[in-house]
Amino acid sequence: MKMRLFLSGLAAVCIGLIAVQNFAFAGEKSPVILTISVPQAQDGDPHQITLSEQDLRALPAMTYQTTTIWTSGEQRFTGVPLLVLIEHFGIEAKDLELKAVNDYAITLPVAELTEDAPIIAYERNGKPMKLRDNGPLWVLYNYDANPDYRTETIYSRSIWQLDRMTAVR
Amino acid sequence: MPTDKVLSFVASRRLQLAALSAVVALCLLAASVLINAVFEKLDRYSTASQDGVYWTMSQIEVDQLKLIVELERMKVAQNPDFAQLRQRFDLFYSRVMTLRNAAVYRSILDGTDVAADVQAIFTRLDEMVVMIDGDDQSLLGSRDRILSLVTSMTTPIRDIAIAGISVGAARADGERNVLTQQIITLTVLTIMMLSALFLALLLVWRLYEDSQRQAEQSRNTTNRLTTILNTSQDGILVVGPSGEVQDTNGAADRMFALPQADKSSVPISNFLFRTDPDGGLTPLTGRRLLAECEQGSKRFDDLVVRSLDGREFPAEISADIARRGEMSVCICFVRDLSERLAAEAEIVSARDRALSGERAKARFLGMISHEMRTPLHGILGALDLLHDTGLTSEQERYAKVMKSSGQMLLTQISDALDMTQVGAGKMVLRRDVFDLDGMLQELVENQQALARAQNNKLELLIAKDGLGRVEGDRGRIYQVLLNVVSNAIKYTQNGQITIEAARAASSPDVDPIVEFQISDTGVGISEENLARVFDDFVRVGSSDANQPEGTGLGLGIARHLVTLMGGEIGAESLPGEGSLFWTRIPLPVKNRAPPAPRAETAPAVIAPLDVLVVEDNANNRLVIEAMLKNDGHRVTLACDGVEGVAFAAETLYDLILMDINMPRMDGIEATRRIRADNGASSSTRIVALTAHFSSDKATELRAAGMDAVETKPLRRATLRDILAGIATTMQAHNPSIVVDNSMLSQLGTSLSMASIIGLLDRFQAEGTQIIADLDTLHAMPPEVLADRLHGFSGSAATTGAVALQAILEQAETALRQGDKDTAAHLLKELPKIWTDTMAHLSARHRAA
Repeated sequence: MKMRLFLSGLAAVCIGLIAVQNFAFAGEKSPVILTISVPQAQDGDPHQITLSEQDLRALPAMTYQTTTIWTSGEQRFTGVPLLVLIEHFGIEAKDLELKAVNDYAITLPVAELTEDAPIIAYERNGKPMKLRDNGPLWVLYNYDANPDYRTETIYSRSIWQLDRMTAVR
Repeated sequence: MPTDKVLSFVASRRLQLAALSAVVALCLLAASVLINAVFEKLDRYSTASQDGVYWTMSQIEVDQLKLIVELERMKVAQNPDFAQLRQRFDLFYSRVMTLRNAAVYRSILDGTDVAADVQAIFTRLDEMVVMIDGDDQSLLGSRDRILSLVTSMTTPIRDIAIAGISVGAARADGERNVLTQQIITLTVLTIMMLSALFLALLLVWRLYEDSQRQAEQSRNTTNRLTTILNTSQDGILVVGPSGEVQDTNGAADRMFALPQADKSSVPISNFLFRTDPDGGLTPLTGRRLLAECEQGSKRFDDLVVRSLDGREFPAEISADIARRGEMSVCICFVRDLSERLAAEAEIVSARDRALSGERAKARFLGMISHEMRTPLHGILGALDLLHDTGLTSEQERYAKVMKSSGQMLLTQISDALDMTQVGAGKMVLRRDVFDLDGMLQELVENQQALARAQNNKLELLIAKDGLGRVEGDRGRIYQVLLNVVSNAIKYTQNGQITIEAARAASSPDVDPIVEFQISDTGVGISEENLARVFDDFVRVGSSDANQPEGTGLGLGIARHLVTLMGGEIGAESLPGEGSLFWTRIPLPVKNRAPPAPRAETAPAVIAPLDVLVVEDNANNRLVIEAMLKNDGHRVTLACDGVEGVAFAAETLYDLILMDINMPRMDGIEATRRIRADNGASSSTRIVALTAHFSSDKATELRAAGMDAVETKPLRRATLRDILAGIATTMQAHNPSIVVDNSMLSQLGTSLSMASIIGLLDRFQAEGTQIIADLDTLHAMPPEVLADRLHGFSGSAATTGAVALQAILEQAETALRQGDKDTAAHLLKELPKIWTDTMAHLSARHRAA
């Protein structure tokens, strides 16, 4: 916990710089595929973090080799762990509200995040995912690795066509 | 196995417990399998294999409607938003694709009638994808087509949703049913298991009660045992390996005077000792005791106890090892033997007293018998002599009565003596070779008069060839048969007594048994008495006055004698019909040749002899002297051994008759002296006269130098036999006495001179013939020759040619015994003796 606080502090110091950099890239190059709304510490107004696929790929990645109940056969997914992402941006929240393009929404308690699950997958079997293939972003767990991930709650949290995320304090 | 055993086996607690345990174990196993199944099922519920199925199904419809709305808006919009449209399509597409890819939908939809609907949707989507992925202009152109395609999907999508619901519901129901079933089974099993456990508990409770009861019983037993041990008269010790007393009973405490407290401080070697062979005492240590008992229970009776208060007594110890866990202890029962030993000593001394009394009685009886025989000797001898003194018929009758009474008395005394000898085991047999047929004949002749007196007929039946000469104690066999026969005569009146004798086996070499049967037609013996007739001192029958007299010893003695001879005796009887007594006695054949009739040896044949009579009893001296003098012998009398020795030293006697019991010097000593002195009669034949014959005595007498032993009273017939033996021997060795002249003198009194001359002439002719044939005689078979010699010796006896008769008899005997050499040697002498005899006879004849 202390570590997390420390990291949060560190992230807060750097936040401005990173935001500037992201905005600069977002405008020019890649389309935004994920928007994170973080309430400001001072007034509570939301502050937006927009990320492109490249932004996500720049973060530490993780790969699962697993089957899912929605696909046939074993798949290889690569993405950034959700915990890494929010720590990267120093986001302090109790819950995370995740929403899909089709407006499917779930709430994820931050306390239940782990270092390696879930990930926000941006690549399936070595290729980026299209909207038609439940992409471009898909929150996934390593279902085969742990029976705890084969529950209805976890399945409901495995949101595909993710495009928005809101931190709730 | 019998039914009740099976039942009791089934009823045994152990089996019940085992069965219940098995049931519990089975239930446990089944329950665990079921629980596993239920958990698996729960596990399946915890790891859901499907997402929100109904959500997805309904969302397909939502996404379809949203796509339709977007297409409708495009129709009216000035500036159609193509990106929005494509996004809507992609969302719809991806939703529908989930139906194809997700395993759960495939399993729900495959095989149902909506499978065709699904396929139709996919076909239309594929058609739409081409149009959506085209450029904006062509997309705009095909808008209506897309709209109609999407709209046409409405019905299949609804069908799919409905099918999903019903399949899902059925599946959920099924799974719930299975789970319910399993939970019910599990519950039943649990109830069963609980019941079994409850039963097991019940059983354990009863086992506990059983064991409580057993414990109670064993407590009672222990108490009882403790009481028994404490009331035991024997001292009981529990001894440890180092000899310490671990436990005792009250008797032991008193016996050894053990201290009340701290008994274990006293080792047993302080009060238990064993007697050494040399009489010393060695303390009995615990180690020694345990070592002795290592091989099982042990008993010593050589123990001496020295109790701690100083009392000492003999004791017996029985000890054995008992294991108390790891340690061995010795349990000892110690018994005070002082009373028992005292009682035993008492019994032994009582027995010794009784035995010595018994011996004294027997000795007394023997002595009395002996003392009675000596005066009887006088009476019977004198009666013999009286007979020859020309009695009147009345006197003769009285003398006869006296003689038969004396004879009876003698028999009874002999019986009593025999009985004491049998009782003392001193009875001995005098085995000799004798003529069995002759003996039986004699028996019958002797008993004939008695039989006639009872008006009985007495008959002897033996095989035609006879039984021949046998080896055995003639006197004793005679006694046995006499006892039985005289009994038969006594108990029979106006009847028939038959004596039969036959060999049991066809060949006497196989079995030497001769069976004698004496049957009568008398009163018979009851069955009850029959068993007792051979007992000692038993007289059967009522004690009325008509009973014949007797001691009742006869048959008892007969049994003893027969047993002694290795035979058996028995009786059968029918009261009123008669009795049959039988006895079987081994009598080996010694000479199969039928005995030739012997010429009666007339008393006058014996030449006058010099006889020394040594006898302290004046009456007996008188009787013997008279007997001898009547037969023409010269008699010298000596009153005791000293006189006898003196006479024998001076004069050569032909015979010495020696009494045994005499004052100053007894017969044994006298005989020894006579033999040792080298006096005139040192090699004379000495015949001992004793009232009491026993084998020990006979051996002693022979050792002293006696030649023969005769029992008193000495009868005239016996005396004549003795003298005849002397005469024969002497004449054979002393040819000077060739002819006994008295024989011819006697002949002269009864025969005419002419007859005597004729007799002598025939004798001469017979003798001359024999001598002439002598050389050829040797070639004859020995039997034939023996018969011929026998006939000739008879003639020689008649004429008083004693020397000739003697040598002929000796030769005959040798031949019959198969000794041809001796016979030939003797016959060589024959011509010379014949010449001498004829010389004597012719001289005599001339003189006459």
